[in-house]
Amino acid sequence: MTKILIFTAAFIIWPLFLGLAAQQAAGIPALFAKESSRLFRCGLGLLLGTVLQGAVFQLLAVPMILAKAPFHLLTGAWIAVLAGLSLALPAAARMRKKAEVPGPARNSCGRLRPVTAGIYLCAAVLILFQCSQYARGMHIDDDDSRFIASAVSAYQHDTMLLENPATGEETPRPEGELVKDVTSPWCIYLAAMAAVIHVHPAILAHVLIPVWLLLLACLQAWIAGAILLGAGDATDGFPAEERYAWFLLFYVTAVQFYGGSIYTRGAFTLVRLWQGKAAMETLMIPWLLLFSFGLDYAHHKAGREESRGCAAQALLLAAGCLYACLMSGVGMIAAGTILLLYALWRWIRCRNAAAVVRYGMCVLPAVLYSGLYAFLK
Amino acid sequence: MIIEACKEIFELFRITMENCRYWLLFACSMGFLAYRGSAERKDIVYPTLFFLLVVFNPLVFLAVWEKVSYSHWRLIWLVPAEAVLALTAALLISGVKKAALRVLAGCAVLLILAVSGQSVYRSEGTQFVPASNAFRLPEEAVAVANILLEQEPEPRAVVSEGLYCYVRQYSADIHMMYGRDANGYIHRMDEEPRHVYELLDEEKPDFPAVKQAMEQMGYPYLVIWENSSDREKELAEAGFEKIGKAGSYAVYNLKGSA
Repeated sequence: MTKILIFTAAFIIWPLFLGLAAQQAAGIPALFAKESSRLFRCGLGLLLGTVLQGAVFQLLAVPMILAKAPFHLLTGAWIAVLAGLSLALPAAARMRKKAEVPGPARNSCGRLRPVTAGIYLCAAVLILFQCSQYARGMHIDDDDSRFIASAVSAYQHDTMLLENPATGEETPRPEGELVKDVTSPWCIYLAAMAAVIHVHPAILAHVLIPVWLLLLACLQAWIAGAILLGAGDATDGFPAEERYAWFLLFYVTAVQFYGGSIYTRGAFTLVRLWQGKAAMETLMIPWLLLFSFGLDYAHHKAGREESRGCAAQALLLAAGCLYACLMSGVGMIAAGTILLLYALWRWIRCRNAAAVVRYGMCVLPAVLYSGLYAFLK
Repeated sequence: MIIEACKEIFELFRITMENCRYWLLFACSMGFLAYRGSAERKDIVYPTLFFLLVVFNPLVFLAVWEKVSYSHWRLIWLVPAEAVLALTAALLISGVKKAALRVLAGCAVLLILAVSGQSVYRSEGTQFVPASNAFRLPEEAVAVANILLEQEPEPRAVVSEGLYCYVRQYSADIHMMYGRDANGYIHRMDEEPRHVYELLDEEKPDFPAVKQAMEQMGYPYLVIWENSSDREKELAEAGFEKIGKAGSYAVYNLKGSA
C-alpha cells in the first residue's frame, strides 16, 4: 500500500504538477481555447508531465550509459533535474506576460446528464476490466528476458547494460541487442521507477506499469475526443460532454476488439503494455498524431488560426518525440516518420517555411538517436 | 524485387487482419469522413492516405524500411484505425437528435465493433493465465531461483530451455551458461555453451559430457525438466546430486562441488 502511495506521488501527482506548470509556461492552453475545462487541463497536464519526466530521463540516460556511469547516479540526476524543473517551470509561468496567458479554464462541464454518466460508467467498467487483466492475470512473453532482466541487473547491481541479460556475464560495453537499449533505455527507465518506489522491477513492470499506462492511454483518448469533437457542431443538440464520452467508449471498445493476432495494436496495448514498443504504440503514436494532424483538424473545425500557439505545439511534439525515442527503437522510426510527414504535409498545404522548419526541428531527437544507434551498431 | 516487396506489404496487412474485419470498417470510416466535410477530408482522410502511400509503398519499402527495421510490420501501428473508427462513430450518432435514439444508435455501433473484430483476450497467443506470484513469472522459475540462491549468493547454473527466459527476471545474481541467446536473441553465443545446449536438447542427453563441460566452465548447478525416474537415475550415474525440485523441474549439483 505504501508503495502504491509513493508511486501515486511520484508518477501521478508530481507529473501533474510539472505538466500544469509547463502548460502555463509554454502557453499551451492557447491551443485549446474552447475545449479547455479544468478537467481537460489537468488531464493534459498529467500526460504532459509524464512525457516530460520520460523526456528528461532520455536526455540524461543516453550519455550516462555511454559513460558507464553507475545506475544510482542516473536516478539521482534524474530526480534532481525534475526537482529543478518543478521550481523553474512555475517561476517561468509566473514570468510569462499576463497578456499571453489565456483566461481561466471553464469550471468543468457542470453536472453530468444521466445519459452521459451512463456512457462514462460503461467505459469505466470496460477500462477496469482491461486493467484487472493486468492486475490479476499473468501473460508471459520471452522478450522480457532482455527488457526485464536488464532492468533487474541495473536495480540489483547498479550497472547499466553492462551485463548480458541472458547469462549475467559482464561485458566491457553494451553488446548485441543491448545496443538498441543504449538509445532507447526503457528498461533502465523501468529500473529507475522501481528504485524510486523501492519495488522489484518485475513486479513494477508486470503489474503497476501496464495499469498506469493503460489509464493514461484512456485519459489521452478522452482528451483526443475533446480536441477532435469539442469544437464545431455545438448547436446540434448533442452535448459536448456526451460526445467525449461516446468517443472514449468507442475507442476502448475498438482497442479491445482489435485482436485476432499477436501483431495488432490491441494485442500490444492489452497484453504486454510494459514493453517499450507497446507503450510507444499505445501512448506516443496517438500523442504525436493528435498534436499534429488532429490539432489541425480541431483548428479548422473551430475556424482558429493555425499559427496561434505554434511554438507550444512544437514543444508538445518535440517532448513526445523524445519520449518515443526512450521507449523503443521503433519509436524513433515512428516518431521520425510522423513528424517528417507532418512537416511535409504542412509544406504541401501552407507553403509556410518557418512552420515547416519548426516542425522539422521536432524530429531532431529521432534523427540524432538513430544516427547514434547506427554508429554504435 | 518489387514483387517481393509487394508480398511483404501484403503479408503485413494479412497478419494484422486475421479474423478481423476492422480494416473494412476503417475503409468505410474513411469514406464517410471524406463525404462529411472539407476539414475531415483535408486533415484526416488525405493525411491518412498520404501515410498509407508512403509507409506501405513497395518502393519506399525497398529504399528505406527494409534497411532500417527488421520489423516493418510494426509500421501498421502508424495508421490510427481505432481513433478514426471512434471519431466516425461519434460523428455518425451526432446526427441523431433524440437522446434515447442516440443511445440505441451508440449500442448498435458498439455491437458492430464487437462483431467485426475479435476480442484480444480470445485471440491465440494473447491470453492471460491466473497469476501465481507477484512477479508474474512462472512459479517454477521463482522456486528454482530460490533453490539456487539458497546454495550460494551468486550461483552459476545451466538452466533448461523451459525456464531460462525467466530466472534472471527474478534475480540478476544468478549466472547462467546460456539463456535466450541460445535461440539467436540478445547476444552472440560462444561455441562451448552452444555445445552444452545442443547436448541437453537431445532426446537422450549425454550427461557425462554435460558434466565435463560444466566442470570445465565452472557451472556447478543444473536445472532440468525431469520427466521420469529414469532421468534421475541417469543423472545420478553421471555424477549429479539432486538438491531440490520445483514442479516438473529438478535442481542438481555436481557431486563434490557444493
